[in-house]
Amino acid sequence: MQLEDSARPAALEVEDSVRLDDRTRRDTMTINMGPQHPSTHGVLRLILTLDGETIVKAVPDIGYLHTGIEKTAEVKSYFKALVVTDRMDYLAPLANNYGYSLAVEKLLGIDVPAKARIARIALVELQRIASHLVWLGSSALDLGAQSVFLYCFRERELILDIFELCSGVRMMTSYIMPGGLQADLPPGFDAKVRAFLKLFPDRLREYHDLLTNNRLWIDRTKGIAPISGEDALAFGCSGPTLRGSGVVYDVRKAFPYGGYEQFDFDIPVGSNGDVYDRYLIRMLEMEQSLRIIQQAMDALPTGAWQVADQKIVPPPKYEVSSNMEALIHHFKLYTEGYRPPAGEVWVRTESPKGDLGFYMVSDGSAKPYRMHVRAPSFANLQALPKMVEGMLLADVVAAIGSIDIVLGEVDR
Amino acid sequence: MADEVQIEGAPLLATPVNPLAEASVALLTDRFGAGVLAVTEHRGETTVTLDPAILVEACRALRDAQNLRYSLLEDITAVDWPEREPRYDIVYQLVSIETRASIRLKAQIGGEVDPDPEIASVMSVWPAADWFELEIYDLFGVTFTGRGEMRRILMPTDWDGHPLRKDYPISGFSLPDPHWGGQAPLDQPLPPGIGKLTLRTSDGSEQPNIAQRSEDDA
Amino acid sequence: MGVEPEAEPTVAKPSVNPWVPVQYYSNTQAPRLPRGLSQPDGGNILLTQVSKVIDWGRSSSLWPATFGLACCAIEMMSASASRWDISRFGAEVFRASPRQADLMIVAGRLSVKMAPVLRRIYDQMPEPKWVIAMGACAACGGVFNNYAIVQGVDKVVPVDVYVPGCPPTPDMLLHGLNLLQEKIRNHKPNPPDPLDYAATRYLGSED
Repeated sequence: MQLEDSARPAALEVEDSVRLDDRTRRDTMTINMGPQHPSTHGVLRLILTLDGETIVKAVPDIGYLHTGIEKTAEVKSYFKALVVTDRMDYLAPLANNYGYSLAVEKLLGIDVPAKARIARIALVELQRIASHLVWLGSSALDLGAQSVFLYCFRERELILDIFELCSGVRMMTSYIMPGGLQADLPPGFDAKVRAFLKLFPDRLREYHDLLTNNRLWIDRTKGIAPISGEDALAFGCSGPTLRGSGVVYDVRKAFPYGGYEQFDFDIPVGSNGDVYDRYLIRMLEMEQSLRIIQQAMDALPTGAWQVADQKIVPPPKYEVSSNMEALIHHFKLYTEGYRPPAGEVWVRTESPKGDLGFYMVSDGSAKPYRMHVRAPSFANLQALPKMVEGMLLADVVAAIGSIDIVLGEVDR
Repeated sequence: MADEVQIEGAPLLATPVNPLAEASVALLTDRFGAGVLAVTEHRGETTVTLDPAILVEACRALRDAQNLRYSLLEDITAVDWPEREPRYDIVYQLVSIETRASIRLKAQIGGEVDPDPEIASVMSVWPAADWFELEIYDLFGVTFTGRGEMRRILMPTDWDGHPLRKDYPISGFSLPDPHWGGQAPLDQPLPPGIGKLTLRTSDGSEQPNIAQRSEDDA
Repeated sequence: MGVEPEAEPTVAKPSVNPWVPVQYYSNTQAPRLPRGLSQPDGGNILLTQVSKVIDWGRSSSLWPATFGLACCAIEMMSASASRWDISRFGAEVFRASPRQADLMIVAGRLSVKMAPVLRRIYDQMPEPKWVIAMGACAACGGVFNNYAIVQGVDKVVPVDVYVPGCPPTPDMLLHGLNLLQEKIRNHKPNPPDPLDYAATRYLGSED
């Protein structure tokens, strides 16, 4: 298979061996990193121009996971398009579901019952911890700390057990849907979450012991791939990538949604904008998520877990076989679906990666006319060339890990 | 269709207040007057439709205004309305971190006479616009002027067509055997010029349709 | 009723089972001829034991090449973590370089841009090599029936084991790995290469 034609599109041409002046010439070498690479966290291709070991220019080439999710959502009803949203940021599917559900609910002009609202927040914060654990495990693994990978995945299994208890699925649960939750929280949910809350702070301390003051870790991450606040803002970064450089922007505090204003939590913000700051921010974010989950579990009321209207949420199955109305609602919902009034909304949420935005346009029909997802990793990745300019080749690996990109989100 | 869908048992969402929306709209109408074509509000969000000619200036004004400072370009996207003239909505979502304000700008371009429209790029205002604009070019075919060369960013570089346009089928077009992807449209004849992907063999020649090779060549 | 052509003496055609392939080995890979007890004459007793040992060695130390594409890659990572330990089956050594790997677990959706890369990585693997298609997207395109996703990785590389799921839980992947190990130990040959036209022609495909 000849790859040459598509491997070097014109705009990505780089010149090696640049003549600087009469007597000097800089010989650079252009190498390719990825798309199949253990440390690119997915199918990312970087075209790096190196001067020795130093990066002169880095050009990311994305699109190797483009799935046409936005187009797929246009041919499915609002109820059915929920499942494709899981697969974008596949490390935090519930966060995607949450953003989508909030957007559709805003289009419909409805709000969910209190139990659903608070349970959603607890689940999304659990998902945030799970996503950060994968980030920590894989970034540490890239930089050589192999045991941290095993510890993080061990803790993540506990969270996935909670999701499996609720929905039957470990990842891609689609448990948060427009109108509330797919099903009631099961009886063992409370006990399992509280057991996790009791156990996790010690484990978090373990990770801090392993990495935070570790001489090797500090050498590999302090001062590496820095980016200033203005640059990060100019490139549209958000999430820990932006907060690491000192800009205080967390959607949960800036544009509160879904009930977050009732919860008491802090936002860690860095100062240097290097890999170490971003690492520490995510570690502290995990602690803050624990706080939120604790408050949510204490405040969780009893009651309905989804909106009472059966035009939006499916009726319970035992009713479908006995009640005519429920049967009709079930049929209409699964074949045609509900029709939100025409209009457009933009809903932004704080996913573990940053500012996740859902732009939904409705033309009054049963299918979304346009669903556009503003992926935080897409914008954060734009800042990568700026970050790694002048760094060594091994620092590229650290930088990619610290931005925490998910290619499913970048390419959609 | 009723304007507000009355749904029983669900409290209507309290529309959030957007305090700086009026200030932003006032800034734009004061400076540009006729360039502001429409201002709409839905569910507490303000959308300002602008004339494409003043778009870059308006963005710069919003970014530099002392009381507003829209420093974060959250997103640029496009919506295709094929029956409408102009066809494409280019949508800019701006966020101001200091003042906690957000606004949506729209520019409408394209149509029957202008199938591959062009619009000025806002990369000079926010460098974040780079990849957003490349994505819109790739998926919708809208070119952005005043910046470097446009290239495809999500689809393969030799791809034909712009997938997110409404007239591009979800299953794509039939490709010569062996198929890398996409499927034959069920009810339409294959349009000419689409699906030029060929199988590149190891000796450099290109086989147009491997299914038509005779058994002797196999 | 027109003139009937001269009827040939009817001989009952032997019924051909269209599901039995015409050839059992792949055209592009070295044919793995039956060895040991599968040989027609039962095989030489000494070589049978040696080939059994070789196959046991091959199946018990499959080295996967890292080819995690999307969500299934995360479950593959979970399969290599401590709860579902893929190291029990000798496959914890995920080699980044395909030159050092003999198993490719295609985990995730294969997009049209990535397909030539997949084929190139597959070609770079030395023989003997096997492919597991992990997940619904790798097996058949999965949830994504659209322009951007290859409808099944077996359009590009020959697949030995399909593991369904979205994503398959790590124990399902390990089950698929076990099936592959049984396949190796029973000398089952690889499927024909989809990019070789002649090899994909079987009884009943007249085009």
